[in-house]
Amino acid sequence: MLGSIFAGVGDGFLLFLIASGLTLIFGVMRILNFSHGGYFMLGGYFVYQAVASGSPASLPLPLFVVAVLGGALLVGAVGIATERLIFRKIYQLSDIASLLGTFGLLLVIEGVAEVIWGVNPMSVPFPTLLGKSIVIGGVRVGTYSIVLVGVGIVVAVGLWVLLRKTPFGERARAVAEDRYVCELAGVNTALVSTAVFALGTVLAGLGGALATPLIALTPDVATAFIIEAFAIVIVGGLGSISGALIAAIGFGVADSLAITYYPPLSGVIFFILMFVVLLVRPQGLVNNARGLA
Amino acid sequence: MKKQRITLAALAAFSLVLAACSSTGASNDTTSSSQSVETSSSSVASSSETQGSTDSGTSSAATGFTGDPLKIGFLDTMTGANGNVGQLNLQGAQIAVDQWNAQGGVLGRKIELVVKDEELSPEKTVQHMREFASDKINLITGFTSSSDVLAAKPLAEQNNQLIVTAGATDTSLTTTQHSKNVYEVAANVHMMNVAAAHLAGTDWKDAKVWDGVAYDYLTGHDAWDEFGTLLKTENPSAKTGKSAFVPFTATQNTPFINSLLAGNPSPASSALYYFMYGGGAVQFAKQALPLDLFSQYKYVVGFAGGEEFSSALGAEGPHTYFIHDYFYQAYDNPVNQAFIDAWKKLPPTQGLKLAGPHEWTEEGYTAMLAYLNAIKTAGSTDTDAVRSALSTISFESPMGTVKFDPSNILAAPVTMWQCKGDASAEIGYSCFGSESVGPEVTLAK
Amino acid sequence: MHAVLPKRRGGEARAVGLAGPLIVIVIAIVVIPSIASGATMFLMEQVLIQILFATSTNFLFGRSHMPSFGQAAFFGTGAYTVALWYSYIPVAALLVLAMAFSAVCSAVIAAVSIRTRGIIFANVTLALGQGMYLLAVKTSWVGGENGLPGISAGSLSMHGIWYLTGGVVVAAIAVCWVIYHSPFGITLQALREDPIRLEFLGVRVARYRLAAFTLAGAGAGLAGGLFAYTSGIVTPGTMYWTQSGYPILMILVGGMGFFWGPVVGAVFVTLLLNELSGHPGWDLIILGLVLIGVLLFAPRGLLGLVKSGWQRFAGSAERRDPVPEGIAP
Repeated sequence: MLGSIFAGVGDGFLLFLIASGLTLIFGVMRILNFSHGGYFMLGGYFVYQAVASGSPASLPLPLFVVAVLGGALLVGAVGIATERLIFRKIYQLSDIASLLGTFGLLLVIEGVAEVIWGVNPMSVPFPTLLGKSIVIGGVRVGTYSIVLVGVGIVVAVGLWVLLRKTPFGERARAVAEDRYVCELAGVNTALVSTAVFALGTVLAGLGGALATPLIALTPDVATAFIIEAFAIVIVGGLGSISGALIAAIGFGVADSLAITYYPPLSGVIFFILMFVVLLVRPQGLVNNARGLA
Repeated sequence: MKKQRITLAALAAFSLVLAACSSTGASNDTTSSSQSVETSSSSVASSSETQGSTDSGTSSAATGFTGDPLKIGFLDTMTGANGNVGQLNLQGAQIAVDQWNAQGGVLGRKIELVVKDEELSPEKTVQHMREFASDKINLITGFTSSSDVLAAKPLAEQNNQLIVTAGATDTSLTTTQHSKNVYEVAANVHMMNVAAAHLAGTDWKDAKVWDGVAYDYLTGHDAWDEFGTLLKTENPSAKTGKSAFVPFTATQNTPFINSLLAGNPSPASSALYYFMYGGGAVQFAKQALPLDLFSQYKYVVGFAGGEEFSSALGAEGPHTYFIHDYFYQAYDNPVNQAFIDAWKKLPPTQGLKLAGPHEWTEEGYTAMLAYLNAIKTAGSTDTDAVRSALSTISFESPMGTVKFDPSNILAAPVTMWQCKGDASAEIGYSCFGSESVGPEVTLAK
Repeated sequence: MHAVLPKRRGGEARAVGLAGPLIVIVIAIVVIPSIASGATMFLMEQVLIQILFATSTNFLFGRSHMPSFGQAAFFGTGAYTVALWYSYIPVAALLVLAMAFSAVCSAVIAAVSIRTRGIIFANVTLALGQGMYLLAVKTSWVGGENGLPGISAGSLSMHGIWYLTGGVVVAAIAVCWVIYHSPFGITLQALREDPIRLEFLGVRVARYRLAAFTLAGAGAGLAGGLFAYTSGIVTPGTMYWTQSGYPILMILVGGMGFFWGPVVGAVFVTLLLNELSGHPGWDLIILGLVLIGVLLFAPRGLLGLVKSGWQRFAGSAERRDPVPEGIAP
């Protein structure tokens, strides 16, 4: 029981890293961004590219940290470029048309990855010191998963501080609530949008970069993760970061418990939970009809 | 507008940098592979036009073929998640074609492959089978996906075409779904299971408890059940333990790993049956490594795609015993040597680090050898003549002299080989210790 | 907007609106077997099936704006219905059964999912389709991941199946056209634009949504049944979520504000996908660029481009049609 919960929490935090950027972008831009999965995947490939030429024996932790941060920032740069080129126009569309527009972008990113890296699975080794496990309360837990939980908490707290305690967060929340009034009040909403989008894609890139030791890198990683991230963001309440955190951990734990106690439900538990939650609370766990929560 | 242009320029510059990185980085795994992709994609693209061998022209001028070129259909999954398998099948088929063309072709005719992409979809298979029929192409090879073979079978029967599958492994193809128009080169799931159970009763006799991991799909469940049954007769003192079935779409494997660990496997007397392939197999392993799952087992036994798995995991790769049709070190004969030599001249495959040809390359190669030898014996490319030759001849393959079993599956050995991560090896892993289980065992039951 | 046209015109003009394009399709169905190879005929059969699939899905998009990302589940339901019973039930009856069964399934699903709207509805339906796919790959009575092969349409030959597909699709399109322009269809459109006002007017909005979803499911099931007969095999891949994306893509490319938009889109997209076959990576890149390009530069689809081009050419004083509701914010 304890083992299942630990595993579920660890898995939940990885999903939260992906979902946080997704829900942030939704909160401000009102776009459910399919291509988020693409940025996630790019984060992974950038880390692969940075460490691939090194010795296959071990991956020094400092090099990994630099690669992860560099990869995340590079993804943010790609995010800014696509925001300026494509998303500026996608914002004008309805919610469903923008969903499809970002799906088109996801296909493009996936195709580019297939051309550059092919479809053979690749992986990045665990960095030194983080490839083992420790025993907590009789349960074996991977050190790397513990690090992911730590990063997840830092991201959650950091976002809360950023959105609640800084002038930037104030603007972002204001734009999320009423873009039109903000424009009238002289807020540079385009700049706020770009900044929020950049932050969201950096988070996607960070998630992908940090996930590399735990996954097989293939171009379809982009779609594998985005569907789960969508479920989390919607169940958590679109645009709600705390809701995404609760939903991610909830899903992680539920999936883990299902696998332990009733394996036929594994894989579909996500969808069943989503159905049930939305039936009871169509607005999601945390209601934030008005902007970021 | 101006801003947009600047961002465009930045984006272009960025992609250039990226392209440069990818071609200079990762030593041997990306550079030339883009070339191989282009070759095959252009060949797939030119729909009904025929695709010459890579050294077309030179050899034909040198040897002087008589008659029209002989067109053989190659239908496989060339794009998408499993496109790598089709590309390797094609690589093998092309090696065989080039070797024979250099020797004057077959029946004096130059051999040409007509490559089509079935995109892992049965309806594309049907469309291309019909296209082959109207182009009077009656001999077809390729096929990774068993469902695509099932889709093609009725058309082959209706239009009197032959199929020699290179990569399909479903047991039903030569049993319940048997067709006189379909021949199968790869060892099927049943043969792999028999070989695994045989080794469980011999080499791995000290493994008393077998745990299992498979994808959560019908073949995964069936394979694990069949292995359990076979194990009872091959090693009565062993039994099956925990099993975990992982959905195709799973991103999180830790709970499955925990449920296996909950059975307290013993490093002295437990073994793990690892029936996964592709990205899912690699991902499961990545999440299992920090939890020391593999070191809880004396033997970890994997199936198809051994080098794909080992290449992806590199130095971290656990010591794994693989069971499938072919491993390049396991056979010492002139055909195998010529095959390996030809493979070594090819550019490296994108994203795959190999020291010798992959089994999927060999499958494409042997499937083509089966055709070419049968045509030569039959003295004709007529469907009925080639079929009766396929059913009767023995031919030299990289695995020695082989012939088709009456059920139309190739009676060739099943190979067991071992790989493990090896930081000192240039490719990050090394393979060794191979052994083969002959068709007299794998096809007897 | 677009749906106002039939109101203004008389019954005759309406009939021309149906008959004109339908005659083109019928001529194509009659001519193609004599000029095309078996492979091309098969490709055209898939075009016809996608025409039906996209047109029926358009009841959820162009008409009532319930963006379903799970229609492949109902397409698959129809296909598996045929695959399971083809040897017991004659073709015509089984196609009706496939349609009915998919309609029932979608009604049940609709009863649950129509409580949600917009992108949440899209995700609920996406999850549903994906769940069906994951169940199918491990279920032995539907053949697992290898599916159910060897489906035959009784004594029908290759040409027989061609005319069967053509006839059923033409008839179904005619029925869809009638429904689309009926008071029911017009109400569906109004429902998309202002459901709250309609509710005030006493329209049972939930019932209309349920009916639209059921109708779309029935069309998808019929298309799936035809698919099973043409390809001879049904695999879980028919239910994979990306398969639900294609009819949406077709509707967008053709123009969701037009009845014939999905038809044009189905032809264009199916042939484009055929051309892209065999180009690893580039197939996805081009498909993605087409989708983005249409949304950004031709939000009313190919038919919208044709129409505005024609208006410019004819110098029509008529105001240009606004971007349809489904695309504009």
